[in-house]
Amino acid sequence: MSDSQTATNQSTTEKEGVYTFSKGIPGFHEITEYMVVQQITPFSLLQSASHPETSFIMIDPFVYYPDYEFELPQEVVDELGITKEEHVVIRNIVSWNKKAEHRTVNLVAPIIFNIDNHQAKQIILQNTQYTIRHPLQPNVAKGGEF
Amino acid sequence: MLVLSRKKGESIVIDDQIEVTILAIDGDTIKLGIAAPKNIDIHRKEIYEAIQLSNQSAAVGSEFLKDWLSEETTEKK
Repeated sequence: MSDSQTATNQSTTEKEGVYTFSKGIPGFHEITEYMVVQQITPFSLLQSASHPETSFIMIDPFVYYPDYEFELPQEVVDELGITKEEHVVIRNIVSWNKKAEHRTVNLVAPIIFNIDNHQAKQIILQNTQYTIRHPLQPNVAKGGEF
Repeated sequence: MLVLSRKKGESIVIDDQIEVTILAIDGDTIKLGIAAPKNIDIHRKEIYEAIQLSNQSAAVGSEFLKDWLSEETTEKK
């Protein structure tokens, strides 16, 4: 893998399962293991087995924002033991609301999954133009199988 | 809290591994250089707190998910 890679639109279809977040995610440091469960496309769930009241709805960002991109820092590539680009899956957390127009997605802090060794991390993009509460536009696009 | 005075170009060392250097001072803005092991995450505090809050407000429980799944399934039909 090169020094820095640009995460772009990619449709990696891969397994669900248990992923290890060695430091948890911001706000939930105590939880280091989550199940990833595919739901109704393009949504998937990040569910804590030990804390049943802590789950997150995730989306495949490229389904809603085909131009979404950022550079995966080399430290993250190393920390997650990423050796091949095709082992990388990107998901973003959705803040759900009954009203579709009030649903938002956090594009500043994508979750990086290594589907090869099942290590994952929520990273925080530096100097980014994206926002933490980006409107989740209704979209008819499909895809996003985890 | 430990309080130390430093001048431009001076550093502090934390736990042998982390070095914080004052690179520049311009009015009330200070530019810091931080050298730390790769496994140390460094963030601007207000951004980190915003992500924490966002995660906390996005977290949902099992009751919510039950409803969500049934609603979403109906919506798609």
